[in-house]
Parts: sequence; C-alpha cells; structure tokens
Amino acid sequence: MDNKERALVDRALSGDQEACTRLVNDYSRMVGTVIWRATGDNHVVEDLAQETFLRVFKALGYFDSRGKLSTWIYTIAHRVAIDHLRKVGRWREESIIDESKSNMVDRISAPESFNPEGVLVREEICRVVREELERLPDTYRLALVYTAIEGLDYPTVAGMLGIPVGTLKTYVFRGKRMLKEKISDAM
Amino acid sequence: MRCEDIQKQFGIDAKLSRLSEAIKKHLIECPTCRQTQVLYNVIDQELKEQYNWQPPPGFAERVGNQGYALLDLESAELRWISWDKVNSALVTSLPSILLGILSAVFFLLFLSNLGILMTSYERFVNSFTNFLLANAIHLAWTTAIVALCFSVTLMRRILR
Repeated sequence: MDNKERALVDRALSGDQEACTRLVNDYSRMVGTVIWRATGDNHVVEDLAQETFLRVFKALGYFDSRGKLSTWIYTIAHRVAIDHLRKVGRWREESIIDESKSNMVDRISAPESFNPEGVLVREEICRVVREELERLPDTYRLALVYTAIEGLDYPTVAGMLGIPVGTLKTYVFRGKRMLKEKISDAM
Repeated sequence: MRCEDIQKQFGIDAKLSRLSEAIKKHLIECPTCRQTQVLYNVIDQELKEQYNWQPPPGFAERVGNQGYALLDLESAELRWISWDKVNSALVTSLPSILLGILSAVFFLLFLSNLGILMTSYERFVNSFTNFLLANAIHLAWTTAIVALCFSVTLMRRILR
C-alpha cells in the first residue's frame, strides 16, 4: 500500500467522514466497471457497487496494510459480482474445454477470403464476440473482460481472481482461442 | 518458434507495437498467424470498448456516509497495535529498553551492596569486581548487544 492509500485508510479509520466519501469517490468507477463487466447487467451495478463499499468499510479495520488497497477493493467487487451471478443462477465456472478440440482449433486457419479488416466483417466479428462472450465459462470470460479494463494490469487481475499471473495469461489465451473458434464457425 | 507458441504470445496481447521483432518477422512470413493476430486484435478492441461505469451524482457521498456508520472502529483501534507496528516500535525502542534493564541491574547491585559500601568501601569494590569477573561473559554480550542496537538506531535515523 502506498503512502497515499495508507493515509486515506488511516483517516477513514480515525473517524474522518470525508475520507470515507473520498475512498468511495476514488474507487467507485473501477468497482462499477468490474461489476458491470462481470455481470453484464447495468441495472444491478449501482446496488452491487454500494454493497461492495459497505463490505469494504465493514472490513477496513482488518485490511492488511502490506497489500494494495485497490486490489483488495476490486477483489471484493469481484466476489460481490460472483455472489450475484450465483444467486441468479448464471455462474458457470466449469470448464467446457475439450483439449483435443482446442488443439484442433489452433490448426484451423481462417479462410483466404476472410478479411477481418473489412468494416462489415469486423462488425460481424464484434457481434459474435459480444454474443459468445456471454456463453464462455466464467473462468475464461472474467479473465478476458477484467484484463481488458483500462487501468487493471495482469498482477491486479490475478490478485482479484486469486490465481498466479501465468494461470491468468493461460485463461486469457484460452478464452480468446474459444472466441476465435466461434468466429471461425460463424464466418 | 512454432505457430502455436507465437499465437499464445499475441493471444495475451495482440497489439502489433508490443510484439517482439521475432514475432513480427514470423507474421510477415506466416499468413495463418497474421490472420489470427488480426482477429485477436479485433477481439481485444471489442473487449476494451465494452462498457465503463460512471457513478451517478451523489453516489460517493451517500455510500461514504453509509460506510462511515458501518466502520468498525474497535478493530481500527486494534489495527494500531498490529504486529507490524509492535515490531517496528520494539526495534526502535530496543536500545533504550536494554539500557534501562542494564541500569536497573547496576542500580540493584549498588543498592544490595550499599551496606557493605557504608562499612567498608574496599570490601564493596572487591565484591563488585568479583561479580564483574564472575559474569564477565554475560556482561560482554549485553554490552555488545546494546552497542549494536545503538548502531542500528543511529543508522536508521541517518538513512531516514
């Protein structure tokens, strides 16, 4: 935790109400973005972001100052989002990867006539990406959507998901490979 | 490098400017990898362009106030005596503590021998010298530790 974060936490814990507002203000945009991308539901973001911060304040006294405050808050946001997905029955953690098929996917080359730089093709790809992203197992989907958030680096996302950076990179690669397979099927 | 290894590398980050020269060279020669790289780049762009949340006006104040009411100030007080702080306080104050203990031992010895001192100054000196000789090793260690702690404290202050 850097000095700025430490000072903010200490001020909040010493009973400074303004520091509590500042803490929410500093991290709410990213917390909301993490939740929105994880749930894909704009209507629940505000409530879940609020729940995230309430959990943060409840546990702030126990926060390990050796860690990074932002990573800790985003991890709580991620857990709140997962809890919500479980509650509404949308959590799909299990892997649907068939390794033999995945290896085959790598050997599939795009058709010669396929030109992803063309505007129409690109729009079609984007549509497929949006649709298929929702169908990916959450392990890969979350790795993809979190690492695509500007301001979240690989170590932070790995910390949020509780996995090593190498594993996260594998999830990102596998997720993209699955999307590539779906795009190849759709084209 | 095999196509699979290369595709894994730009599968993590497909931005052309961030790829190594060896991969760029391979992309010029391999149309399959080139197409895959373009495809991954489009996927990356689409993922990046997904929604970013903006909190509604007054969100920070409202949630900040609710959070303030929930703050566990008892645990916050406990936080002040967390191991990190105790550890750092101990390290900083160790020389003073040791010096204090040493002074106390010395004073105790002085007091316990006060009777002898009153009657015979020579007997007291002899007795004290005998004590010093008998505990020479312990005293040497104590002195060394105290000296070391002082050096550490001085060094920490200089480096600060």
